[in-house]
Amino acid sequence: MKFKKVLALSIACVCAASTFVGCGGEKIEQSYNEATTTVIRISNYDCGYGRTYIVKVAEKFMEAAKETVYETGKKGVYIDITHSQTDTTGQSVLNTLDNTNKEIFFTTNVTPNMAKTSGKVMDLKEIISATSADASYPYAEEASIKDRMYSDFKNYYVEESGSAYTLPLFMGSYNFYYDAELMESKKLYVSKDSTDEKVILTGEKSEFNAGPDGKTGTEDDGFPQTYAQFYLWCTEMKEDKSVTPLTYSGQFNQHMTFALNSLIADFEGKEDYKMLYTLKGEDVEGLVKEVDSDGNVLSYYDPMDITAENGYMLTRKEGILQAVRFAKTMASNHSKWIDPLSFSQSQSHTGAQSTYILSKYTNNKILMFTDGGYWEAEAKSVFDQCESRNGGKMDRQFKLLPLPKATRAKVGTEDAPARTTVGVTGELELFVKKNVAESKLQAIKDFITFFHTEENMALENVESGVPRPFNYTISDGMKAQMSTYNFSLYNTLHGENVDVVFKGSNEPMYLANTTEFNHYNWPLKTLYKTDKSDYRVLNFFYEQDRLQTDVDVKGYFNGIYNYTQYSAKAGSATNWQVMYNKIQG
Amino acid sequence: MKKRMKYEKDETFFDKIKKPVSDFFYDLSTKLPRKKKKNTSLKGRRTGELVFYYCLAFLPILHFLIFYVYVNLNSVILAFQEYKFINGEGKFIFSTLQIETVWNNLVYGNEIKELLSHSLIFYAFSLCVITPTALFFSYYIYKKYKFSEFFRVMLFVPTIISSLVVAFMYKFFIDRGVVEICRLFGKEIMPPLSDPSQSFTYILIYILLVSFGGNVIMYSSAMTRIPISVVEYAQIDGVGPVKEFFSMTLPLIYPTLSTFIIVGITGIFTNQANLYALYSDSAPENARTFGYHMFVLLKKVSSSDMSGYPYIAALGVFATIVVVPLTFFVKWVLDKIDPNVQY
Repeated sequence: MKFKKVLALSIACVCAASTFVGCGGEKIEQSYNEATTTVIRISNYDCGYGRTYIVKVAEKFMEAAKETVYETGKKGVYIDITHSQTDTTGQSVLNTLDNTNKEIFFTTNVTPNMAKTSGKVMDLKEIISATSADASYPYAEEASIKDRMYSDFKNYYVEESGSAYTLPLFMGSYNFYYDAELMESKKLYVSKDSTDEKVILTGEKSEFNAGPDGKTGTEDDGFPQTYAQFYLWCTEMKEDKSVTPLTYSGQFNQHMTFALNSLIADFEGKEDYKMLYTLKGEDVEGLVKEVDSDGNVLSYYDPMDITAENGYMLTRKEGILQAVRFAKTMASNHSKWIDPLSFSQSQSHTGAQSTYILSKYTNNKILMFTDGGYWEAEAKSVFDQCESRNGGKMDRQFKLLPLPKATRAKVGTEDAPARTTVGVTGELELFVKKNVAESKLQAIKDFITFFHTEENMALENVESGVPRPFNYTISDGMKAQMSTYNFSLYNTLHGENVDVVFKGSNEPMYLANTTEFNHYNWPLKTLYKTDKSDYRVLNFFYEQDRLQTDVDVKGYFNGIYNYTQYSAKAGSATNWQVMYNKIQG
Repeated sequence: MKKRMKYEKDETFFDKIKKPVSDFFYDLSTKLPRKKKKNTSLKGRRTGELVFYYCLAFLPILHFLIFYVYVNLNSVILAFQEYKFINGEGKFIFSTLQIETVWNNLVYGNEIKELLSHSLIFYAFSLCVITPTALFFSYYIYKKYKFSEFFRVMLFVPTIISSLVVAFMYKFFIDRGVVEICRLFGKEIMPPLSDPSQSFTYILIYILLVSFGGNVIMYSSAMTRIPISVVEYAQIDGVGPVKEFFSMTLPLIYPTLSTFIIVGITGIFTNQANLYALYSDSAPENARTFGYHMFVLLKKVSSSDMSGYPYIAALGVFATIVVVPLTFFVKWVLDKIDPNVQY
């Protein structure tokens, strides 16, 4: 009996002890003396952007401030960073603020509104407004953080009063990428003699067409100018050069849908695309009333005002129609244009990256790929594996594909080059806990300002592989540390001819329905049967006969509108009304 | 007699390590200082024992109260809430909107009905195909027929290996291996798991392969508890293996079997049929179960937007309303047909 008691107690102790396994995160070993050094504690959500960008900037700051006295009896600063994935995002991290000793948080899914209404987050108004003229901010630059923030991000993150509770870290986007090396070796550039009915491939730079922007001498020279040219280009490269045009993840085929949003953005332009998230517009034109089965526009609605109440009318935007047509055409020609693994559940996102990167060494060379902007960092292990054959990250020449325009009318000219519009999300944000120790406040302010200097933002871009939504330039020295892809992404999102649109807004309708307005659901989710919906546009068309549907472009496009107007029971609130009712008192 | 001695002599690996471990703890207990035997009354001893049991049970009960009672109560309350975003602040208010929405979707829509039908198909498959097959293999292993140890290991392997690894291997074999094999025979097919017209069948096959482990272990363990003397008496009376299975083994392991059936009923609405392991959140519509649908909905609700939670909670309440009486009913039926055989 006693033996059983001892055994039972021992097992109970082991069970109890195991509950402590999950405590804490990964900490850098303490190498400071808190009695003599001011310590700033940072919580970092350890995700795909890595941690090097924070660590390097923190080291630089510690060096820069090593002689600074922030607290009486202490000199210098130590940045103590805890990297973790537990309770470090969204509402979970806000819930921990009362009981944590961390002061600065690098996190995700914490909107400015959430941070403000929690009452536990510091207003960064003073910090983001500081300039070098303010002696109390030794690391501030001539232009304040606020002034250097991209305007669209500023509209979201900074209130009219100048208050800001979170600051954006990176810009997230889904794009089409291409292998420039393959373009060169197989001479896949589009000749200037090409038309929308015939594409001629060339490798001679002097023969390149002007590209979608219509201006020669720019980065997009030699690329298809229109969707029609793009389709012909795909056929030519496959039939003449045995190059498969495109691959993407079969398991996460929603990446293709997210990338199609970039086509919508580019068609609509900055103001009209932004409307999809502000749900506000006066005399809005170009809303499609009728289309034929192939997606040709038959008529438009009269100009109308858009508000939150009738925001569903934005699903009639022509850019959405064009994206659906593009997907349908790609799906109809999938056997020629798309690698079969893009339709297989066995190809995960990392599998697709591997397929694409390693295609160089196979007979099935693939030119284009679709994924999030972080894909190069995510594929690190594949690049490392190719280092020995000069196929590492720094050796390869991946770049962002210059998107073709939907119609010839949208292509620019030499005098008026067409602009590119890119929709991005805010990936990761930082905030500071309220009520930090008064003695440390200046140190924290200095760190935030230091983190946002031009030089350090360039460093963060280089280390994370993703650009920040601020105006900054990257020095030649730092460019040398960037891969071709990394620089291409920076160049695109910081380009002079590029309008970056933040896919979000401070409008109550958006804030109350962020799930419904995320890129799964908006604006490409369609109702294709009574109450069946789908958002995987291209794969949906590919699986048509298997899904026993016969939905054409018109059906899919109208279904996007129908989804917003759907209600299970006649007379009950539609999907859109349910969303709208959330902001009604 | 020979067989009986064989059963008694055969020590398993577990028996071999159990003895030294048991001896170690016994030695440890003898070395602990012994309290002088107090002249305690029966009541005093009983109190001491109760204190010990309460201390031991405290943590599990607390865990139960927090992670079961409180969580589920919170879910029920959440089902009667509606998210409002007023003056820049989101909050929940009391409302029956989500319950009505679920009801309308169920009665007037098709989606929930399809999800339920898929869930029921998977359950019926589990009951009518997996359970009998598991019983067959368990009996085979219990009788120690040829290659029984091999089957015991191979059927249990998918349970030991990470479910994601098994799913990964299966996906690769089906979506690439089978496609290549067909290509060798000159036939081009769409990857089966990605083909909505075939995926359901392949999902059922996958469930069959991975479900054996737990079932076989439980049933064969139950069978080994059958007294050898009972089996020998039957053999002496000339009972063959088939008759022994249906007349003796099944009735004697009935409590285990009925427990599995009842637990299966409770899992109808939560069973994901391994769809998330195979497809992440893009499983084909024609295979989605109710449990999978709820999980994916929950996953897609961003952590910065809690407005989607009440609907999911309402779905959960609906599932509870259906499954609770169903479980009691099935238990009543199983109790009615219980042969009530004792060793």
